[in-house]
Amino acid sequence: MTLAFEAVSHSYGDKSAVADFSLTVGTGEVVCLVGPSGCGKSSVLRLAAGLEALQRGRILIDGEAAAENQGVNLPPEARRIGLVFQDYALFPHLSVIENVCFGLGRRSGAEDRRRATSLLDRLGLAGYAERYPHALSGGEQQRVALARALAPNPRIMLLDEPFSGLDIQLRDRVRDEALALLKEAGSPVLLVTHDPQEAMRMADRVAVMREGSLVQVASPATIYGRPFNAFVAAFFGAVNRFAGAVTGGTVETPIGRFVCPPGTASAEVVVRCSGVTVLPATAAIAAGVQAQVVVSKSVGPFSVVDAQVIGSEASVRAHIPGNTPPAPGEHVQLSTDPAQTFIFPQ
Amino acid sequence: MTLAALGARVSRAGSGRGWPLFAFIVAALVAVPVLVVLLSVFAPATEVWSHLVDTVLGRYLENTFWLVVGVGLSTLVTGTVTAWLVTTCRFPGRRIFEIALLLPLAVPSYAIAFTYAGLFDFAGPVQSGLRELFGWSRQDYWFPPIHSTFGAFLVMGLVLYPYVYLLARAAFLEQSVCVLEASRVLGRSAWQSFVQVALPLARPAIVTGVALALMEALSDFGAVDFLAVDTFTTGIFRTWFGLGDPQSAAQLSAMLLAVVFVILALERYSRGQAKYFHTTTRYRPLPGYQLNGWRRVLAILACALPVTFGFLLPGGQLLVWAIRTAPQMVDASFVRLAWNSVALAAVAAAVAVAIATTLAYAARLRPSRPMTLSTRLASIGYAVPGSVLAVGVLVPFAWVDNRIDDWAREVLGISTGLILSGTLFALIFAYVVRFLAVSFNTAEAGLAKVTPSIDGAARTLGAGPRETLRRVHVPMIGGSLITAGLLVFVDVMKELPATLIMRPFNFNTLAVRAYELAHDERLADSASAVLAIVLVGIVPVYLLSRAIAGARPGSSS
Repeated sequence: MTLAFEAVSHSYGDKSAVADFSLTVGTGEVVCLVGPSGCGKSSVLRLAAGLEALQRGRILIDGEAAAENQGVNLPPEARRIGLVFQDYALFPHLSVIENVCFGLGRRSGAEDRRRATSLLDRLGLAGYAERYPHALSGGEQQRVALARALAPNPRIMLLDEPFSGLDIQLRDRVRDEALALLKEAGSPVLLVTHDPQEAMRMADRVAVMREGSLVQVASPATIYGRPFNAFVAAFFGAVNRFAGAVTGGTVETPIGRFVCPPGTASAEVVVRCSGVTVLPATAAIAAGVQAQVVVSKSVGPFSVVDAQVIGSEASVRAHIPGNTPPAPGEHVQLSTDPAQTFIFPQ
Repeated sequence: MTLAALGARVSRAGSGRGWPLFAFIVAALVAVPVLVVLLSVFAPATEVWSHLVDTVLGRYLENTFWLVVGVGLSTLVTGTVTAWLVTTCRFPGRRIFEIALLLPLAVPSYAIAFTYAGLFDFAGPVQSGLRELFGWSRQDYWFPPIHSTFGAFLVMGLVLYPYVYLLARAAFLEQSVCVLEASRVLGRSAWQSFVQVALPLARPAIVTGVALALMEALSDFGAVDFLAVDTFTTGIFRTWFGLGDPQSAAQLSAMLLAVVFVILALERYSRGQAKYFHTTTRYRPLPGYQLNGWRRVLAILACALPVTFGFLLPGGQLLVWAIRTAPQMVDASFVRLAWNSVALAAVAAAVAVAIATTLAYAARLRPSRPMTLSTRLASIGYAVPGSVLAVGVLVPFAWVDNRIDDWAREVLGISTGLILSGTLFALIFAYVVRFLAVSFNTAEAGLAKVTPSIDGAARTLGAGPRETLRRVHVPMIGGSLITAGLLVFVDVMKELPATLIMRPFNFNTLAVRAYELAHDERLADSASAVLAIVLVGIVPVYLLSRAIAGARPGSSS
């Protein structure tokens, strides 16, 4: 079972929403499509579901064209896909069990009911079958929506910001349960989210989208450790960004000199805030830069320190462990972790 | 079969051209009567027409003009003042008046005309009482004649002001208290705030209300006919039946339609001029000005007068008459009349709701410019007066009948007579055209509350568009559809001119019978039928009052 996009482009009026988008999701794979709001990720999902008529390109389900240019266009009801909506879209006039059985055909017999019931059991909704959606909490509604989408054994699963309506405590638990169930079902999963942490956590592969185009598709570790460009690096965590001209193979920044690939005229240096180390001014390290703390505060798991580099206007932000950061005014030394420092030729 | 082939098939069968096609056909059918009437302008004038121009046309225009001015002013003042009082002032009985001010909506204009004529003409209890009290005879005093243009717009204003009241009230309620408070802080008094801020903000709504009242007044036939005020509607009726000239009747209809379109255009223009947006979304209930002393008395009077003269007085008179005459009047034939009215209204309501729901769903499924245009066109009937519509339906139906008859005589050697015109089918067709807008707006508003992802969920779970409509939308918006049906039902029950012109031979309804009795000066005898219609008319008032209670912004619902 696979879902494939081939050079898909889509626009609303003269506003382009998706441009030359190609991506394949394999059997049992979870791909998270992530990007800032308005980047076109929801359009991709709607095109896959058939809720939007394809304009250019091809969408294949199990190798057969579900939509191709403006010719073939399977209506959503013929695609055999499962879609979980951001607002769950439960049918308010149907009970939980009727919602789950909706996609199981007209004559939902005992067999269907058993399947629906076991799905509900699996999601911890055993006693909820006869209740109506309005009597359920957000988390319960979310799980009913998931059960409803999974019930007809869809060939592919699409999820549109499925967890964004839940509060943080609930979100972690529901997310883990949902992931386990989706993995078990084994169909390709395409999940759209604007939350980078969620994407990293759920995905086998993360697909980062910006202004209608894919920027990078890779495993969460690769996306974080080897981002394709400054946008991807910044999207998955707070960063410092410095740009400068390359002279003699290196670029000069307020926090030191960095070696650039040969043949680049100028480069941008991106250092994760968590990759900036703050040491006492007196510590003897080779590549340290002298700075003065401007603002510092503890935010619980770590502390945020803004320091101004001596002899420069530039300010550097560091996320350091512990909750006793150096006080404002204190002189410190800054150094950078090479694994969290990225140099992008410009 | 490959999936792709299957898909092509499904898309032809399910979500293909069927839906837009349905919308276009409905729009075309609704447009036919209007087009027939408008195109009659290009037909050569008959002798009857030049006779009409020489004798009565001037009077029609003059009476129509005064009717528009009179009803316009009286509904404007009554509706706006009462709406302002109940939304922003606090005085005893306010809650009751809020609902009671809608009651005159239940009284058809012909009903109030009958009762007022009975009460206030020369032989009525009022004038007789005055004569007895002061020992006057006919020459000794002057009493405003009820059988006059003045009488006509007076009684119509009394039952039509609720249109203005409803819309103005909604507009005043929507106004955030912040805007009014800003005006007060900037140094305006409460009265100045009303005139300079609240009233201008509510103007588009008020104009729409007046336009609706005027359209009702222009389409009225029963009241003006009974009060002997010659207008276009009575002229159309007389030209059709009295002079037997459908073409001139159609030309008169075209002139009336032109007047209606002018009013619609003015309404559009007024709305287009001033598109106000509420700058704040923070809603706090209006605090309400506590009225005391003479102001309180005035406010209660201002609200009580329209209710008394628009509902209690005519309703009471009808009740008195009905109690007196019901023993003779309510018999087997009355029951048959009632059944005719109810059956006709029920069928028309069911058809209108079915078409409106399909149309609204088609527009949701395939939004496009031609689709929007089609639904607009399909809703045009509400602006077409009943008598105009009757002419617009009968003329083409008769044409089709004659063609069929010609063909049958030529080919089969038999005469088929009239198949379409003069049948209940034609009548129901006219009702649906006239009241489709009522049901369409209600169905559309119901569908708008169903989020698009509900559609998406049903579709991705394997239900086609038709199945989705049946299994998801119809059950979800059932309440709205019942409301839509009730509104059409009541409107059909009240409808007089189209029924009068189009009913099959020897077929009668409550409204027609009431008209006939009143026409024969048997006002008291007509009361049972009229009262039945008024009672049915209270249903939409009840629905509206519930909607008002439920939709009060800021209230927990």
